[in-house]
Amino acid sequence: MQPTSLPITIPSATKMKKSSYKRPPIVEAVVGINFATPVGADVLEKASEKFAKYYPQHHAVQNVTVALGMIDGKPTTEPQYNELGHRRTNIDVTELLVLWSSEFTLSQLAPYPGWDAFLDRFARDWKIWKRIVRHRDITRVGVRFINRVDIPANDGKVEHEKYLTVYPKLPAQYRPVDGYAMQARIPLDGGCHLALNSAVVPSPIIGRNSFVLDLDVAKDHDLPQNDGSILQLLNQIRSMKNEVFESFITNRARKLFNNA
Amino acid sequence: MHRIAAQNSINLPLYQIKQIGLEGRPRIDLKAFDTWPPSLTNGMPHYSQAIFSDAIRQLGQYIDKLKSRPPTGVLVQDHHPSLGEQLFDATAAAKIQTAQVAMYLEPKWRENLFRQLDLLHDPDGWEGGDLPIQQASFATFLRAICQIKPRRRPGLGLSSTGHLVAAWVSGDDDRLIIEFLPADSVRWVITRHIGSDEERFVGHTRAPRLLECLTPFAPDYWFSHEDEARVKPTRRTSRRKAHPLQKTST
Amino acid sequence: MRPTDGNALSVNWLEYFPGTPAHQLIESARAMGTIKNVGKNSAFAIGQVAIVKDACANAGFPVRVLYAPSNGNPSHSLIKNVIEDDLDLMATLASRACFPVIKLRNQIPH
Repeated sequence: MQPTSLPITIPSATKMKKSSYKRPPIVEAVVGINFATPVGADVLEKASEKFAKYYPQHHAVQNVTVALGMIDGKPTTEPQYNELGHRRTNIDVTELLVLWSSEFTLSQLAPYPGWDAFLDRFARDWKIWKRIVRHRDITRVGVRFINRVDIPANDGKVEHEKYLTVYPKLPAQYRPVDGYAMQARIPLDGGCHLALNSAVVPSPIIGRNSFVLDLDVAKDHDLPQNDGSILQLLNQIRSMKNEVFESFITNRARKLFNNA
Repeated sequence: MHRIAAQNSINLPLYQIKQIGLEGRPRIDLKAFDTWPPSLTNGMPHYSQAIFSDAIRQLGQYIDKLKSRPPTGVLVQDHHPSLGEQLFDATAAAKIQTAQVAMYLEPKWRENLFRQLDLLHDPDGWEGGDLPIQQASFATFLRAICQIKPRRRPGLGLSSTGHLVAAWVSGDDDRLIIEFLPADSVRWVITRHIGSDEERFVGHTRAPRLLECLTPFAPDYWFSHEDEARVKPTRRTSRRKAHPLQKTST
Repeated sequence: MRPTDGNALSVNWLEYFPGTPAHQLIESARAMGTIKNVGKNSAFAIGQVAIVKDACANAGFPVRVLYAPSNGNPSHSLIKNVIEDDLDLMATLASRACFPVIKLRNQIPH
């Protein structure tokens, strides 16, 4: 299928309802698109500069892969892979854009402005990106929401089972637990899959214990290649993510997000 | 071989399998970590253990496939930042910290906080040798503020060691000053004028206890707005609610 | 204050400079700028020696005020025995001894 020409508009039917929580527990929201063909360093830099107006702060970043070995009992390191990228943020460091040769990543830190605003930003930035980089076959589309549920503690303990439906199940004689971390990969409809990470984390709020629900929903086959369809897929993925998240919490947790 | 994200120190990704030889019998401990943005890993230990056998290495690779990629926890190339860059990085780190609790802050409060942080870190007038805001101090500030929930914003200052200082002024130059130290430690001093007398009260406590320590001094006198019901603490009130803190007076 | 200040608060003697109070203030700020970084958002507090000494003594922190000129800053003085880390003393100085706080912004010639 040929890519559509620019500009990108979001069909009104795909506009989603605003988050219904007064204080959504979202710590970070991310949209990531991966490509089959890497972008050259020069083009990547040129694309990065085009975003300066929206993300004036820039850091050059790199991913380094190192092979560790042992020779004659001494550890050795051998750099094997070095990828350069560009990380840009707005002045408040709430809106981030990270450009790698094979990945376009948009991130939003709290406070979360709502899906519509986030998707509008994606559409704007994707348009700028495509103008420089042109079409590249997409290999992965993902939406990741990192949520943190801050549960009021009583004498340092919480009954997280009353707020969450996903946690390790242990025999009664091994409760309460001091902490946990778990990970699961779950197939979803439409060829998507969910990578779930959940753990107890140090709480930034006095008197609460915090539990992270990190939901990464992605699709890596049978992907649309035109911009309108990508936006629709993102909306679908986000709906799936919402369904999953709502199934992982109870009404007690929902009250927290509205009253905090 | 695992893909390693390199920063100043090496952070090994996701699952690491440790084989323990205990009385000659191997055990496998599975430890999961570090799928989070860096801001969520503060205080969490890093587990890095060598992988000793092919079987365990394969198990690690299988589990590795389950992992999510780090969203935007990417790494900065090493270079020698200018003063302006150092100060910006410090305020950027503070703003990222704020994102952890932004859902508990009123938007205007947060915007003004950022403006104050930027002013405090203006390179123009920065004294060489001073430290920018320390994350440990700012973390204490955020925890305290989220609990106290003051309606009035404080004036902010920065000590030469990078500790945040917040000051509220009410009435006839009555002041509440709080210095936020690392590890949830706070120091505070209250200065108030009763007639022609000046009284001062000094305390040192932990952030979770701060509100309770301030309660005898009617902290709403500083934390609420003038149009709210706000009563200046009287001498009789403070005596009735005696608190075991050092008191100085003139 | 900083640990390197040796328990002394660095100040300038306003009356060292002739002229009107406004002129004295500007010259003091300029002199201070030879040893410190004085920016457009820097603020200056004015105190009277007698009130500073009296307030600190009554609060239990007796201090000494010494004239200590330095190169480039002939009006430089020191308030000695000021403990850097003492929040109570700092609060005393702020509330009783030093007023008002003035920003000179663009008035300091560079």
